[in-house]
Parts: sequence; structure tokens; C-alpha cells
Amino acid sequence: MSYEEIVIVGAAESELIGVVPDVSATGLAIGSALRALDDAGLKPTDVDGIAGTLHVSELALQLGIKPRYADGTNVGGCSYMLHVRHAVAALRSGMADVVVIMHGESGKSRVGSPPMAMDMATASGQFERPYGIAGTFSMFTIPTMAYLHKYGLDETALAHVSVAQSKWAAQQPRALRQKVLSVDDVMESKMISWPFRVLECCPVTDGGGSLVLTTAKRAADMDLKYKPVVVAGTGELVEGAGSSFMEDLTSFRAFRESSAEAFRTADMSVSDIDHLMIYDAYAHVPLYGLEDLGFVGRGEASDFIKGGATSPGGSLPMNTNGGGLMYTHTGMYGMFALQEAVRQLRGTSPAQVEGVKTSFVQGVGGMFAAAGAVVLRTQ
Amino acid sequence: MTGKLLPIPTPETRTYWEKTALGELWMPKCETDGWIFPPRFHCPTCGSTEFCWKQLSGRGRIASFIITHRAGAGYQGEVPYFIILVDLDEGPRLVGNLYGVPVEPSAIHVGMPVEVFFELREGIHLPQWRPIGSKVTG
Repeated sequence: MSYEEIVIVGAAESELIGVVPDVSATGLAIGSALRALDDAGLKPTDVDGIAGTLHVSELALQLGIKPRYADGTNVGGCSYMLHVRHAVAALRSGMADVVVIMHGESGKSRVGSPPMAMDMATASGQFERPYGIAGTFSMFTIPTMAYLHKYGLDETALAHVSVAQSKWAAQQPRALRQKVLSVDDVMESKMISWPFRVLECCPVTDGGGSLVLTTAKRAADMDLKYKPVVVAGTGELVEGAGSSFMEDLTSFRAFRESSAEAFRTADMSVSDIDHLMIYDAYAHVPLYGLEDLGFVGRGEASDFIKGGATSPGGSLPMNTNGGGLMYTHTGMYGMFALQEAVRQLRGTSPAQVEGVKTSFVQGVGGMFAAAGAVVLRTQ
Repeated sequence: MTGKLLPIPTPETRTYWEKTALGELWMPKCETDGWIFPPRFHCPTCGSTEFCWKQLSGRGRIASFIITHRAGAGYQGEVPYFIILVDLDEGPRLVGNLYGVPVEPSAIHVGMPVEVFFELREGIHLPQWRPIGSKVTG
């Protein structure tokens, strides 16, 4: 069975990212949506479908539309990968003609953002949170020692992830952390949650980003600034409450299964992928991702990164915006991974890799709770 | 008031917290599919609602850990401190803090045997961990 081709015709981040104290979370989302719509010569009234992790009714009101398709799926930072997947289905079935996926988060400045509430009656609230979990840096990170122990690795395995990504961030003028780092720089940075130093933990920032999706047929009649980027395949899996509930502390089932479905629906395998984005809130996540997606064997991710394969000039350019660790991390970073993949396929990234025709974007949600994968390619 | 976060028991977990108040660790167990954690009213494997609560030994091994240098609510006077995952001898995994050893990486390792004790926190008895044979209670 052949499905109608769905394409990204607009993609943009908010004008400012990083520390943006005078724009609300919703404002960051709407600002990026208008910029993304401009890529395709569209007005808000051309949009009949929206998705986001902010209240979708508020987003609709603020954008000024009455959408007939709304997706408020929120499973954490990979939600935007799931929004892409759901939008593909909606566009193919005629539930919408033009879908805008919006992200806005005032993670640092907390402008127009409700205080973060914790539900102590959930599984995580009863069995994880009471034990002095100060933030994601002391919960998302916990499985890491099991991983390092299993493969006989030491703490520098994490530092090398930051070092590799800093080489990309140095080419990105909008990256929050732009300095090329050495292993010593990382190891000597402030201890947050042993074995994690601050340069192995994402910063907390403000920012927004949006994508505009439609059918290839409709796109052919649009006045586009850039060639459309095709959504070739998608996958998602919700695994559960969080890191202590993982089946295996050294491998993430939701990474394995969402990526396998994305590869299957794209009719591609790892050898077809030119460029890779793996959501990296913390430095261990790309280690899990490279192995769970099948780019390397079990326990091989550290040597792969250390050997330069994912760095500039390497065989598998990964997290070329510097990743959540270096570029920006608003809280739900997934949209920024998608944005960099689109830039690479358009040929417009400040850290452009020559000849990128396919990109695999893997997101994680919560703390090893959910995952979404999107395969993109040039048309 | 310690300012530390308190679990809010639900009907599904009430027995778990009633047993910890007695100094015991209990979880529901399906005859066919084994332990059920977090506790709930059905077996997530077979869907059965016919099962009993059973007591666990309270012994296990450290499956993973971090040493946090940033305090969670109420832990301000305790940094740095361990947050550990314990794989119980019977299978299920619990989160907790480790007491009774110096708070440094060389004092802990994956696979280290530990036993449970219970911390009384504003009416709730929380499972906590110490090396086997240690007498510490916090």
C-alpha cells in the first residue's frame, strides 16, 4: 500500500533562544509559528490543525484560528516527534490540510509558565520522588552506573559525549555553550550528580520552535522558501513512569521499538542514514541511543564517539547543533532536534554537513518514559 | 516537618504502606506471572484480579546509583547523598537512599548487597537501605 507523501514546508525557531525574559512561553511558540508559516507563504488562517504541549486551546486562540484537528499529546520532550507522527496520519486521512506543531517554553525565565507541580500519588510520586530527587539530573541519570559497570567503562565515557558535541556547537552562533571542550574541561566542571558534571547536563533555557506540515500535493502549489522535507517514517512507544521502572537499566525499550518502527515505515536501515539527532538532556542518552537504534553494537557507543565518528568530519554526524547539552534545552528539547535535522536537509545549518539526504531524529520523553522517532529525507 | 516529600498512598498502594509501618515489605504477587510493582488491582500480564499480597525478604543488590550534590526538598543538610536503585532478591526494583557508608564513589558499587530499614517521615514509613548487617537507621 502506498501512502500520500507528507512534507515539512515550514520550520523555524523563535527569533531569540537562550535567556529571553521578555517573551512568554506562549509568545515563544506563536512567534516561531509565524516564522515557520512565512517559510511557506502561509497565514494563520490557512492552518486547520495544531499540535503542542502547551494548552492547544490557548495556542489556537493566540494564533487566531479555529482548528478542526488538535493534538495535545504530552509525554515530555519527545512529544513533538509524536505530533509529527500523528500529523502525518491526520493529513493522509483528510482530518487536516495544514498542521502547525508548536513548542514554546520559558524554562529559564518562567514567563507565563505555571509553577511545576508534582503529583505525589503517581507511581513516581510514591516510589521515586520522596528520596531527595532534586531534578532530572538526579533521576534521569540514575541508570547510567549500571550501563558503565556492564561495559567496564569509566566516567570519561560521558565526558567524551560533551567533547564531541562541543565541536559542533562551536560552529553554531545560537548555541548557549560555544566553547570547544576537552575531557579535562568537562571532568573539572562542577559536580552535579556523580558521575555527572555540569557540562554533561543540559542547561535550562527559553525558546520556541514550530513545524508546518502538509501533503506533497498541496505543497506543490505553495510558494516555498525552501525545498520540502519529506517525513519518510515515524515511530513512538510509551514505556512507563520513569527510569527506575525500566525493564533493563542499560537499554531503553522505547528507543528500540520507536526507532525500529520509524526505520520500517521509512523502508530504510541504519546504513541509509546520513545525519543523526539523539535527544541528549544528559550525556548518557546518546550512548543508549546509538546502541538502541542499532548504529553500533552493545557497549560500543563510547568508543564510537571517542573515535570521532559523530564529530565534524566523522562517518555519522550526530547532534550537529551541539545537542541539548550545548545548543539549548528549554525543558522539552525535542523540537530543536527536529529543527536542526530540517536545517541539515535544507542545507542551511551553520554547521552544515555536505550532502545530507536523510536524517534520523530520536526523542526521549520524561526520564526514559517515552520515545518518538522521525526519519526525514530530501524530496 | 522535615520538608521532605511525602508519598500520597492510593487505594492501590495502601497495603504496601500499611506493611511498611509494621517494618515489613510486601507487594502483590500473581500466582502465574509473579510480583506486581507498582502495586495495582490487576496483573498487568494476565489481567487477573485474583492475587494475594506476599512479604519480601527486604534484601537486594544495588543496581545503579548517583551521588547528588544538589539537594531535593528537605535534604538540604545532607548533600552530597546517595540515591540508589535496589534490585530486590525476589526481583522487583525500588529507589532509596543508602546509609551506613561514607558518601563517596569508592564506598559503593553496582552489585553491592543491601538490606532495608524504614525511615519514619511524618506518619509514612519509607523503605531505606544500608549494608547487610549495618545497624544504622538513617
